[in-house]
Amino acid sequence: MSETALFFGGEILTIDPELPQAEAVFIDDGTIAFVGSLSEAETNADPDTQRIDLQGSVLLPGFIDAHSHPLWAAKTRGAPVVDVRAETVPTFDALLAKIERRVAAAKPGEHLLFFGLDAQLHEGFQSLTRDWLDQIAPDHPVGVQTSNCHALYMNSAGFDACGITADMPTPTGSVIERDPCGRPNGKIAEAITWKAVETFYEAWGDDRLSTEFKAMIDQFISNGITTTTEHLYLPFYRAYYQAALKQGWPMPRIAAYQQAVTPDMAVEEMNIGPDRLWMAGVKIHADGSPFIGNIWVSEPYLENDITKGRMGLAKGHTGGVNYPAEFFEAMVRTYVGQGWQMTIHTQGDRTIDMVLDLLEIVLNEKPRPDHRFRLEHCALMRDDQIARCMEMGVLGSFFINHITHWGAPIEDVLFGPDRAAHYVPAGSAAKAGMRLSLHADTPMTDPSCLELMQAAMTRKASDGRCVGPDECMKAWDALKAVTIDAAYQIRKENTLGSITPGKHADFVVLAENPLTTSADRLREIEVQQTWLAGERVWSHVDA
Amino acid sequence: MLMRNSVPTLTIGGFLGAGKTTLVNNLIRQADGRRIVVFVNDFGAINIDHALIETVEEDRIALSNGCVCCSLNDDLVRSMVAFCENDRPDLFAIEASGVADPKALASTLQALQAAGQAHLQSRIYVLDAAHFGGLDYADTEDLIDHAAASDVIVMNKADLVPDARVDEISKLLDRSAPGVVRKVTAQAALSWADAIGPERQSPLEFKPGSPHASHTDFKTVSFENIPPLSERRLGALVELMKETCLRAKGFLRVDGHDETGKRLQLVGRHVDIEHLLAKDVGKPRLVIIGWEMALPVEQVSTILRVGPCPH
Repeated sequence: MSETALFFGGEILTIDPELPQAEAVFIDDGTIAFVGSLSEAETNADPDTQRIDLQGSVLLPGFIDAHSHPLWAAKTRGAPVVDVRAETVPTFDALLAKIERRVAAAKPGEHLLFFGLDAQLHEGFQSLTRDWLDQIAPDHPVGVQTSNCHALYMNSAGFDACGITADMPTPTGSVIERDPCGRPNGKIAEAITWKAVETFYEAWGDDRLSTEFKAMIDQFISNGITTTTEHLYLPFYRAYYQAALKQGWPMPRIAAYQQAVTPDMAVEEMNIGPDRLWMAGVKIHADGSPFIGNIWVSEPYLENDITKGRMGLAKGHTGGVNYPAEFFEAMVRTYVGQGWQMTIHTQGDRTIDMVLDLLEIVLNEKPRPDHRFRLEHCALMRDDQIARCMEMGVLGSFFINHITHWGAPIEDVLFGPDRAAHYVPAGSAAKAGMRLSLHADTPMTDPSCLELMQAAMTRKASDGRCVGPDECMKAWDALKAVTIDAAYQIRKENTLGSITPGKHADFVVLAENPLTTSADRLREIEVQQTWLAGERVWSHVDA
Repeated sequence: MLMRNSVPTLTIGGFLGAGKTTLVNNLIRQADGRRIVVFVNDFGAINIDHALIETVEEDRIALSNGCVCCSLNDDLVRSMVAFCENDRPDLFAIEASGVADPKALASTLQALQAAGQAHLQSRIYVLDAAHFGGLDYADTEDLIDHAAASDVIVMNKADLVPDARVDEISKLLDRSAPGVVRKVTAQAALSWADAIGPERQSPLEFKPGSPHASHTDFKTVSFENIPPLSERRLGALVELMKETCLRAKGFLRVDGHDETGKRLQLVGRHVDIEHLLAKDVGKPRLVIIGWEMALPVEQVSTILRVGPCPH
């Protein structure tokens, strides 16, 4: 006999224009069977039907974060990685002290990794060097990863452990900073970073990862997120997801986007259903992070102590892209040609120009309707580029938490008030009618779709200033960006993202209606229950 | 919402056995006519002088000096609001769970602060000097992280260790919890003034004779030659000062308005902005006064685009 449940007694926001509000929802065997009046819903129920009285709370479709890394986040931030983000460790000197204490407590040969070094937020920041880290840790492999994940500083034992030597050529798309003799001097960035940190994760073994992955899943689920993505998917990840499903963990549905760093990668076919884990497409990094200076911009970075001294940027620095143009084009052509949905990491406006130019050529040669080509993060996307995206059917997924976490340095240190006013222009994209999504890019920021909505609607930085009031989103647009429009971006709008008959019974129950709650308080709304595939997988009462 | 009706609130964090409850008891003994409502995590463990106890209910002990001890439960926010609306106390003190992250409590308080009911006065972290370093690496680090995220560190049980050990811990905290006030105690004997810090709201009517914070904990910083501000910067400045300064006074020019300026006055969380003719404004300048450790000199400099004047 199938499991049925009837929801009633509270507001029901369906996010379905056909029937925006309803009195009751009836679900059968993990699927939404009926949405409408309570009396009609009752006719479906039988004595075994579970009756869920919402008691005035608000039922919504489960939240969708359209760009995240749940497994990678477990690797990156879970113990024994040491959290040194500026919100935990206030200054650069305090960070050094923490590293020193960790080294003192280390077992012989133990691999030590620290996450969260931040040139903008750590007071007194200085660029770490290999020699400096060697003094602190002569024996243990040590890595210090930046909070934006794009760069890693290591000591000699770290370079040895990762096999990065003076005579090793720098792989295309990566950065290895070297001294005049070619010896790596401490900092690496982009693709090679993510390969290097795997050396540390592997040294710690699988038990650790399993525990941390479970904790990360709980973070998503307790925030009402029932679907997310694994951008940067690598083929060996699959075993961990399958283990999670096998153990009955409430893993959110995962749209995987496999990371490409060459044009000749085999994209894994994967479809574990219904809609639990599937290969959604391919992810490529066109450029890097605004916070380490490797994004491609048409106007230079500002010139000041932080950009010059801490970030090491020359006067007039306009950054660049990760791959040579032909190499990048070869990658895009390969995976577009194979029919995959593409998601391209683009932060700088010149990078966006380059990607749109290329895509236009590729699509002109071989039109592909409904390609849903995605640009990720979109920090400095210009107005004319939003218009161009709309013409071409290109979608933006906006990393809005840049504003809340780094709003002050973005305006004061990196780009100045004019560019800050339209930084991550989700408001303009919504006005233009784009079906956009918002994301937390966990591990960079914590998973919470209410926090994303608040960030997009208030654009309030941590020091209280509003960065770009013209870009504030309306509540309804922001809510769609974490439900139905996010579903659209992962090509699952027919089965996810709204409370509609025939779709999966994924829900979140909130204490208050996010459409009528003051924008400043959205992140404080209590998430009371999370339902995934017709099962209650989280409740604030048991928490 | 006037700050006058908002109740100052202390949070008291610390590892199990550090001395949080002893500290709470010390505060109650120093109440001196002020009405303190205390929320404690382990209601059974609180050891109150029997002579003080007036009534005991399931989750509440009323004391003869007007103070109340409540058990800390899910309804913290609701309980606090009920006190504010029915019988406003002079101070809330919340003992954070023995192992909980004090930051989580701070976010609970944001809601009350937004509603004008209560505001965070000071985050106190009690650290057991006698047992510091005795926990494993991860727990010790948690402890240091929590201490770094507080306003006052009480280095308790200092009488049980040699001075050299106190110095050693102090040195560690100098680096890892920079800018946090430290008080060395035995028996968690923290004075009222040290616990409460300087008042963050001006018209709170403490009874005459109550100890006030010494003037040395205050700091005054001036800014001059301030370029004209955009409305947005002005807004950010006002919001920031409301959260962090006790008093401020200044004359500022606004972008695109050459003939006029603004006189700005902040008392507690109340801000008055008056429009004046430029000739009455004179040179743009701003003076901010606040608790030394909380005064956001760097952030204000960033907003104003000019650094503070040398003393």
